[in-house]
Amino acid sequence: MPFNSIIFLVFAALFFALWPLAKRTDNGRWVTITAASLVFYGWWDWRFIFLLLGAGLNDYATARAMAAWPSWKRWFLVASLAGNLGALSVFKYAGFIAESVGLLAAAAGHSIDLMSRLPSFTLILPIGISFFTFQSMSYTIDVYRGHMKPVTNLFHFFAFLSMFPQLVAGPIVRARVLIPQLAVRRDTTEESRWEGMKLVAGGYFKKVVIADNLAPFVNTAFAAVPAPESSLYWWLAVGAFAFQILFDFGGYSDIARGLAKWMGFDFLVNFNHPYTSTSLREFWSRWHISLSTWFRDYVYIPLGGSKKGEARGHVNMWLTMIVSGLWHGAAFHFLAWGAVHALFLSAERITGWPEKLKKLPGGSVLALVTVLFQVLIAWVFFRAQDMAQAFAIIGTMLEFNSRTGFPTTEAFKVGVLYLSLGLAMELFHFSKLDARKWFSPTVYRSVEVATVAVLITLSVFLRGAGMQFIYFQF
Amino acid sequence: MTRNRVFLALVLASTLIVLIGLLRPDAMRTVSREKWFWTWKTHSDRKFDVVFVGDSRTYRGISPESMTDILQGIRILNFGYSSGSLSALMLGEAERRLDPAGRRIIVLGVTPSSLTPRAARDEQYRQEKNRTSSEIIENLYLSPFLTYFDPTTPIRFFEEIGSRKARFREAFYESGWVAGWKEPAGPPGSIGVFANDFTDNAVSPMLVDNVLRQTEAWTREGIRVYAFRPPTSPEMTDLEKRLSGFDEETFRQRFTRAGGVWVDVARAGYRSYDHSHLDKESAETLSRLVAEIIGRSMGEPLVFPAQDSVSPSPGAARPGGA
Repeated sequence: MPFNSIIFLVFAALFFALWPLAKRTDNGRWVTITAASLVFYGWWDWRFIFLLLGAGLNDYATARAMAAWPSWKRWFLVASLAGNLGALSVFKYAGFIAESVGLLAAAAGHSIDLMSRLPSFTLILPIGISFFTFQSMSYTIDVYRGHMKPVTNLFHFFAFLSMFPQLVAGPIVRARVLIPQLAVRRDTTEESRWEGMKLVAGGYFKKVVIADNLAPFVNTAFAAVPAPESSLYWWLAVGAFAFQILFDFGGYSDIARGLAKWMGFDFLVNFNHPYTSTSLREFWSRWHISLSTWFRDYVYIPLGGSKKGEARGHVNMWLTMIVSGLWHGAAFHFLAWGAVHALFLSAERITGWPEKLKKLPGGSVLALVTVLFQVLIAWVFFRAQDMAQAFAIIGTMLEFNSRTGFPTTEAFKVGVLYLSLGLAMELFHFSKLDARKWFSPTVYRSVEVATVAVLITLSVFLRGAGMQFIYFQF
Repeated sequence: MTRNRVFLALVLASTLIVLIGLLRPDAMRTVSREKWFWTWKTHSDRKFDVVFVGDSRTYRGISPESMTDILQGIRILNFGYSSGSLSALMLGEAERRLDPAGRRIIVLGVTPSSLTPRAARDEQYRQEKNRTSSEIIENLYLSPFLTYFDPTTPIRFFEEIGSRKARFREAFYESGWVAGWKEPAGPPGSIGVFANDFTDNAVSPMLVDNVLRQTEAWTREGIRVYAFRPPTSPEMTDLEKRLSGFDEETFRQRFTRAGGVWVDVARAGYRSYDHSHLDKESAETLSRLVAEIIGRSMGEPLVFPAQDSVSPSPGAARPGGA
């Protein structure tokens, strides 16, 4: 059930009416969260509840087994990883693997057709599978490493794994962060409820007003046949996509964090104004933070990070970025997106250009523009339907031609309007302006209340066509 | 000031929502109706005597309401979709909506675009068909109560309250018709937006053959098949003649040989608001003409309203159909 649906509003109203009673006891808290989350998840397709339960039971059991038989814990970890990665391979990567084998065989002059032999259920992607399998894996890996003790109560574990605000699109909350929060009753304060309200209202505004109004322009541009040949048009379209995905996913994360606050829990920030970054390294510390830190802690560092020499550091970083690309989708253009970022990151490490540039007058702005340029080029691979389209679009963008004559439909005008708004919001943050300094504390409280009320009103009357959250497909 | 800021913000937001909902023009309330319209058209299991199939020129150009002025008691559905085609999928879906015990008539709205490979993807139809059950329930049963909260865009909002520019209006009918017009009447805009419709997308001989084969099959089964070319502006007709590869005369001859009846609607009196689609008044005129021609060929009793139902609209453009 998506956050931007009427049924979710009804669901949330019922849940929060029941929650003050349910949270009083440990079992009441855990059972209520688990039951509500299964309803929330099963609303899309009840059959995949069993996948979630299966993955969870595997990790609950293997983690407990690690504690019971420590000398065998490596094998229990292998069983946990095999279960999670096996589910991902079957449901997310089977088609990609079959296609890749076919292409490799064709290159060697053979013909292997695995695609047509795949069972039909492998063609359906269970919603949120990449998020909950990664969340679950973080639990067993942390137990294996001795960073935490396994949970004994099954509902306590499932309340962590299935918690509905972040179940299908993150943020990926580590077991070490959430399981202890779930262990005790946490009452909310007026301040925490208000913080939650600001996050929920702001999140809905980002998603339903900005992202959903950018979507028609972006979708039209990437589906246009023949594609417009104007450089300006494509810079605008790719810019619109950059802000669409930021506000779509960032909006979802904010709503999830706000709902969690109303329940008494704290999730970490997932997007921290990534387009204000002045280096690509900084970008990755601000973009989808819960995933990039997951990859850092569970892939990059175990590979050796940058501690095994400079060349090995580059190799590790490339591997991590490519795996990150494939995490987003089983297709070559996602892999290319990861590789392009790795290429830019390697260039940044070798030349150290951001630090050199920032020493010049106006260097920070130049660095910001350079990072944005790189990120936009990479986004083309992410959004394109295939590699051929990605190269064609990048070719047109880099021509910097003066062609116009592209269709200035209403979707285009609305898209450009919201692109400007998104840009203004990020520039406001980049300029380090702080509205709190403009008012006295009392007046600022009223301004905040009015702002939230206006954001809710705008989310009602300026919402775009209800689009699915982009990250649901991952 | 009360300390409960959540409560205050909700009260203030509710007040703003009520005020804006009350004060804004009614014309901004079409989104919920549109959702209901497409879901109903796609998922209703009601049966009809006559089903029209085609693209937006058909669903905007044929008013079953006006047709039943003349063909009284006959149940008519306009089963057109945006960028819709005359593919096997759509013809099959149209047939499913015929009442086996009824008159069993299918009318094809033949435009060059509806016979192209791109249209044959039938994207809008598939999107509507693939809606989840909760979306269907929401659109059918909740949408009618949500018009108060219908969204708009800042551009439309400011046009609506501050501009004298002609604004596009549309109304959605249960019969499958979408009436469109400009208020106040204004120029149709540039035809340029349609210029790329046929790039790498000429009329497909395979689709044409399929339509003719289906016409033969239906005729054998006792289904009467009619076809007409929805009128459009002269500029659009010229553009289609140059770029689409559609030969109307040949199509008409082959269609007639396959057992279909061609409905000739090429005449003066139609007006398009955007170079492609007929405005509401012209759609009503066309619909009465089609009803009259079909009714006569079926030997149905015709009822003519008091006014001359097929007279040209005032300020009529040149014929656009042929």
